[in-house]
Amino acid sequence: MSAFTRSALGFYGRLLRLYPSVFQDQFASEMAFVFDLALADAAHRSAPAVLALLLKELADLPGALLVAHLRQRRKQGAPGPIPGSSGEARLLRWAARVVSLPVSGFLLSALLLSEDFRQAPTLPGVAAVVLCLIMLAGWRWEGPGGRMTLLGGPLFFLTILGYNLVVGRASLATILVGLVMALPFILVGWLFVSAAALEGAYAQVQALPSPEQIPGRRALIVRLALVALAGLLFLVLQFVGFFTTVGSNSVGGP
Amino acid sequence: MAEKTNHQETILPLTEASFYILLSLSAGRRHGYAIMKDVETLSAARVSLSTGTLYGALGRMLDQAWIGRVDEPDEVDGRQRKAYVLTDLGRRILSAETARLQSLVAAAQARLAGEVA
Repeated sequence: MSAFTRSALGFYGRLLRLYPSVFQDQFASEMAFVFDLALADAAHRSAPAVLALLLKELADLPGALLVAHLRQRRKQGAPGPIPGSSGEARLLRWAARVVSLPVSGFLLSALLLSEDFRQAPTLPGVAAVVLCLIMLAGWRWEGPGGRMTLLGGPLFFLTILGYNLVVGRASLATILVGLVMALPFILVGWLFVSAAALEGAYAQVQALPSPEQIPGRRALIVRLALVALAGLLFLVLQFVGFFTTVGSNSVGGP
Repeated sequence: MAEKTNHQETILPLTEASFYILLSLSAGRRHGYAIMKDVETLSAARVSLSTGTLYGALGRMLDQAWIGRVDEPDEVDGRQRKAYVLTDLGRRILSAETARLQSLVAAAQARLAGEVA
């Protein structure tokens, strides 16, 4: 066995350790054996064949790791985007995600692409960026991300209000803008927390209850309606330029 | 019948890798490297599986009971080799996917030949 082959096998063995431990127990020795055979076969053909083999393994590695880790999480019954999870939890989860995307997308792009904000970031603006990132983290960590987003909404409103009081621009309009800005975060956080709670409850029950047995079905509809309304209101106000006139003043823009 | 159709609809279409792996195993038990080489042959070198893709697919198919895993009788370099076999469920899924692909080809050929207005 040449030095290069030993190095390649050693490197491949280290890459195998990136897979979940259960996957390694099941397949690692086989994969190393198959790689050994493939490497020997390629070396027998030509140097470019060896290079092509190595590049193919490296190129496919990220996707293979993702699939293996997701498969492992599904088998462990981890919360999150699991196929077959309760319908209601899924609905709440996706409602939260659908609203979180345009809200965070608009705020992050408006702030981070603003030359003025980048040169002189204001406290409400920074708070908005942080809260958007926390809200997006709720896609992965529904419970903690949802709770932090839910609590962050009122804090964000107080930040906007406090900032405008300090700079002497407090008015009814700034209060209204603060409420409109904070409301989507409160509702998205509420949805993420609800989805996580429902998912946990169903995991314990081990069987989906009938629709009549699901508590708070009306509350579910009310939540969805509220968040849809808040999201729509938020977007309408942004698009008619409310943010760029009164709103930008409220969060400390030019 | 409706349940069977719905179940097939959630499984099909198969990815190319899955289809070729099942096709390779339809001829009999094979170990991992043999599957890899056979897939290349079946696809005329169009599909070349990395070890990660191959064993990711094999792991998923084992979970879904489309294939089974058996010990090879012989050891190689002191290592017990594993081979894979197609289960009845895997064979039915392969047949269903083949039928689906055949219907696609038939529809395309009919249209291209101008038989359907």
